[in-house]
Amino acid sequence: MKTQLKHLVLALGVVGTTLAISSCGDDDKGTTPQEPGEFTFRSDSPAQYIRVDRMGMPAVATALISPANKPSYNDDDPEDDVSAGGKWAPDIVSNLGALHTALDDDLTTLGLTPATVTLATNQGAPLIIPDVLTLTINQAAGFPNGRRLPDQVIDLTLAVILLDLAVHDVGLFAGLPLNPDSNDKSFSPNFPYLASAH
Amino acid sequence: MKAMMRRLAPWAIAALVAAPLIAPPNQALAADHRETSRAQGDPAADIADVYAWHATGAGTLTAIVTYGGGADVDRRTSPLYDKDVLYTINIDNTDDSNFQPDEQILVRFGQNNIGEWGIQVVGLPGADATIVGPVGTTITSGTKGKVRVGLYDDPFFFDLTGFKNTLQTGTVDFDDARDGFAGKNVMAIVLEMDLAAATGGNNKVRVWATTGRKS
Repeated sequence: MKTQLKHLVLALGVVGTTLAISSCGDDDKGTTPQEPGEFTFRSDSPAQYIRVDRMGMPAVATALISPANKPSYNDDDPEDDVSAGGKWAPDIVSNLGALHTALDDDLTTLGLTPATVTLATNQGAPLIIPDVLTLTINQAAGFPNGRRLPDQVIDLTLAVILLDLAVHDVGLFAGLPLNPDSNDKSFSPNFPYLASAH
Repeated sequence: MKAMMRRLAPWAIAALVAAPLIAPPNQALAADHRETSRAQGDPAADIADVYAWHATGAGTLTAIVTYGGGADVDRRTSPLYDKDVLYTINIDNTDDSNFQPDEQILVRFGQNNIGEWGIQVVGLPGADATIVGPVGTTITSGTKGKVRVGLYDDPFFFDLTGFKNTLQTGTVDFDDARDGFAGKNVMAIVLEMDLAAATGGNNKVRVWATTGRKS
């Protein structure tokens, strides 16, 4: 009797298990499609992440910081840029000086007035130290007042660091232009503004 | 204009030959694409460019951070998301010369149970404290807040080939019709926010971005 009862209990258990499995699925095969559920994200505080990169103005870290200094430059913040009278200013000024030593004769030959290194530093420093994009809201948007997608940032930056802007317009190079003056695909006037991927 | 450009050719030669003084030949005079070995080895955390502009009529401030791009890499053909990377868009809006962020927008990526990617944005001014939604779609929050991430045409334009060729040969090969970033794609985080909330009602705003990796 005990054996028969045991078998009955086991049989009911099997049936119950089968019913339970069947009831989970919403198709004839009894499988269970996984629900997408919610997205899950890391919740670590920003301080727990190790810095990889930083950027504000275009080309500063690439062109005006010496290669050996770039990792340390990326580790810093804008407040470090302005510390001690300009932590990275000596490196930037040194690279500006090297550029002008090589270029000023050519600029002069072409009838252009190069900035002295001091003037170039004075013209460029407000834009590149600290390394941030600055927006003055009551003035029209457009590099270097912020940075819009179509702005010719490299040609404008070259003018600021090479030319005496008391003599030449900051838009001289952009007007030629030295580099392409527009993107290869048109931007959209509407969010998200970017052109579709190729 | 073209004639003036040709007159400037010697300048271009000199500029490009002189460029190694400030940038080695294997590094692009680009906005920020792949500018250090550390960033080159971590494309998900390698900031390519930062854009930020205001539209007083619309009452918005738009910030775009691109990453994972570069003219000297194959065209990116699929999106790149990494749950271990934190993107921070910093806004100093007090003009107090401390250059510390008054607003920080934190962007992370994560997945759901079936591997779909989502984006989380914390601290978008004028919007919900935390915004979550799928990648590749525009997510709205508040009256002005919009968030979107995806793969796009790289919006940066620059004659990288001419720059490199001239560095290597000493012969000018500079062409304003040649865009080293044409045909390239890049990942882009696009954030739009209420201008008054982002600026705190102030007139001077400074914007920069950082990336960090959690190991």
